[in-house]
Amino acid sequence: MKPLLELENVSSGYGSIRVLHDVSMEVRTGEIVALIGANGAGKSTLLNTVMGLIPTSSGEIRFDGRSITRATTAMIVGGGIAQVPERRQLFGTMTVEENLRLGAYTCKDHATVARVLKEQFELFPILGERRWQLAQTLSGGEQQMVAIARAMMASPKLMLLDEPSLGLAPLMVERILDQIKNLRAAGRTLLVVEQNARAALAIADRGYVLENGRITHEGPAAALLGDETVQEAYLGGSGTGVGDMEARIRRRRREILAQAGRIAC
Amino acid sequence: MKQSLAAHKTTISVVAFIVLVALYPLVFSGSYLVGIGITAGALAAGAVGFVLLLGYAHQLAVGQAGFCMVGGYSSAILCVHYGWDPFLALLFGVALSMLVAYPIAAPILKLRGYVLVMGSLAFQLILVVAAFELHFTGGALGTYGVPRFAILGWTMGSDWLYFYFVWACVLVTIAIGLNIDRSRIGRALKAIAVSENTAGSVGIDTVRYKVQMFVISAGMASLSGSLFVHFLRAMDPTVFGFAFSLNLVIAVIIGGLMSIWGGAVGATIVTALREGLRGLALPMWESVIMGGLTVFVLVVFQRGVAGNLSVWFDRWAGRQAKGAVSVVAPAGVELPRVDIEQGATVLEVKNVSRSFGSLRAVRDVSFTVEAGSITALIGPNGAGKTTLFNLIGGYQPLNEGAISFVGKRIDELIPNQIAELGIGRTFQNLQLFDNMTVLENVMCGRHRLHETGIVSISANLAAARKEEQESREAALRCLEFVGLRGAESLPATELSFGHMRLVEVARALAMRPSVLLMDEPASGLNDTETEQLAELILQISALGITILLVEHDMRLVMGLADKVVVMHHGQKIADGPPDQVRADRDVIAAYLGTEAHETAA
Repeated sequence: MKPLLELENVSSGYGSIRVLHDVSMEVRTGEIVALIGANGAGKSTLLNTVMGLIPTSSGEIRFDGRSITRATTAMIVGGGIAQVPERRQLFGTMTVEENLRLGAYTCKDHATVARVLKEQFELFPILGERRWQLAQTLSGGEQQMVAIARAMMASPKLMLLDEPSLGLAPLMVERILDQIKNLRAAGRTLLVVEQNARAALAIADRGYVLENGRITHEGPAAALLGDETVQEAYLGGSGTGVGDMEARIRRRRREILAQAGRIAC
Repeated sequence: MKQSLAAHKTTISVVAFIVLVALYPLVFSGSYLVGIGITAGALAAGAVGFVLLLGYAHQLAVGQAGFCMVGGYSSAILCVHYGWDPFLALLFGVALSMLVAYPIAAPILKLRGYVLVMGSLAFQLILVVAAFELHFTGGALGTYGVPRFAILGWTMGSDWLYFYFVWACVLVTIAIGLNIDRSRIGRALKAIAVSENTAGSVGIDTVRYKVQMFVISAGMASLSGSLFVHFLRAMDPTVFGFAFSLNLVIAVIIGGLMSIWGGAVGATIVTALREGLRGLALPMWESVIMGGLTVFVLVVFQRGVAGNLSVWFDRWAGRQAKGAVSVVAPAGVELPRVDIEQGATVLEVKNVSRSFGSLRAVRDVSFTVEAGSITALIGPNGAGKTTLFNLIGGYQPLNEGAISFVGKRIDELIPNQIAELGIGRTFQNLQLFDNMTVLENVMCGRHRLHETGIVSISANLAAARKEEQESREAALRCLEFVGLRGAESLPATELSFGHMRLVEVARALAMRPSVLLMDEPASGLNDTETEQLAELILQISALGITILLVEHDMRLVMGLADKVVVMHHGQKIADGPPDQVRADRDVIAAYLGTEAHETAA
């Protein structure tokens, strides 16, 4: 199948700091793709680069066959990509419905807005019950649903979810993941960025592992779930290239401590 | 030639100032023009104080003209009714203003933004109303018959003599301002202007220096008031009203908020323009043009006239050109070792909890940090590490529990008090002072070790000069220790990200800390830089400094740490040597997530 989103050797970063190094990946229509990796691996940077919030320093990003490498965020959103930001970023003092309506802000047709709003309440019945409640009074999981539904209001082709399970209780994590599966059933394509690797890979078709700004593993989700090297990507380890620096640091530590007359443990 | 000129910018400025002041009455000899020169000088004395308050301490207390009234009435009443010598009356006014300013400074500076503007204007208004109503001020008619200025019986018989005296006073205020500017207090004020949190992290008391600037500025305002009154030869309640306050604000904006000279330059320009425009006999145009000019300066010319002159001079003299960073191996230089008994508990976190609304960010966490050790705090995103770090640093209050530093409770203290104890920190998102050079940034770290106060700094006494010199040398050694030599005179923000991080470490080291808290020191660094950072952390540890770090780079954590504390969902789930923690089932589950069907059960 033809990829909906395609990254080819993309590098980017903040000012003089390079965060992503030659990242290549693709998301095909109708897929759920999980992008996993430890804190600081560059996952959010990758999403922000796709959204045009951070300029791409080299490489090419294509969406639906067209290059969006130099497009502005407004153009990218208009083209059909919606981002659900990390930590949700709702308008706390506005109601659930007002938050959702803001997601369709660019749509001037009242009938269409009313229809997609109704769809969201069908998809997330709990939000229908709470449509008049202020967003800040909702639980973390419900707020996450509002954030997802708000992104859905623009009827995007591709949704980017940044850490949807962050700060949620385990049971709530499962409910959010179920909702994400429902979105795919409703015809969306999703790229889910997660630190909670097991949860993300459990619902994904394919996955990519990002480590220090580079893709180190990719493949079917089930295969990655069983891979021991994925575990090392999170906790470091011995023997692999990742462990070399750790071993060198340990050796220096012993030398310096010995010089200082202290005993290394 | 140009380079040596650049080094003597202050001397050149002072010489230019003296020459211009000396020539003015010779060139513009009419009594009207000398009079304008006197009013410009009187305004300048107040404006220099206003630069310290507004530009340096960032306090828009526009009612400062109230202190001009205190000075003006002191001079008028004491000279007219009690026959005081004008010079002594002037000094009395300055002392009285500073005495009044001191107790009201702290409450009035608690106000922020436009509330401070209103509060300080209210103070001025009270004085204006009092002056109208009170008997001894002479009410609405004011006090008339103020004598010519005299010093201890020697009367200044001519206006040009008084002109020179007024501008000599201005030079004194400028000298005080310049002494403060290049001292640790000047750096502290610039640091506060960038971030009060960061300033606190190196032990700078944010209230204290604002109060000091308020008091000094009140004294200078009073001086300005007295100087005016002896020129006007009368004092009434309308002289230092709202219009005068506005004049002061416009003068410092046009002259340059962040330049001591800006006060004098701005006062001169404003006075000259007002007089020049008055010649058009169109009062409306005067206000419109002054207002327009202020907006113009604010929008396109933010450093003001004096600030831009300074920048142009630097550029012309090529001052910015020197200073290339030569990175050397860290720790090529010895720093003093910290004397603390190795292995004793230096930091104890006991049953600490902190909630934000319904979110319990830190729940009942306890651990200890042993002296001389490297302890790492890790956990997935949102685990509560940063919150815990902020609790230790005093940036947020605890809900429950206790934090102790060598047996003493520190959880009630605020950041600068914690820094005073010798607990330094670095930040995840670099927190350098972008309005200072690399060396000045590091010198800010020395703040807690300084002893000289505002008086000896203002007067540039030998003690203050000696301390400044020691501070400079110590800061240079710290820069050398982290491997950054030659970068000292560069603006901090012109370095690469990795080097900026090293400056932050050097600034923390300049505090001579016994404990160093490092928040994600490797974030944003590449592999080579990370490994260099590891070496630096080990060298710091070898000095006997205890290190507590939050870090995501597991190679760094597992390679460096004696002990690793793992947090998840606000709770501590493991604590021990790296290899033990790495094998811990709970830790693996926390990092990789538990499988959904397990959690549902």
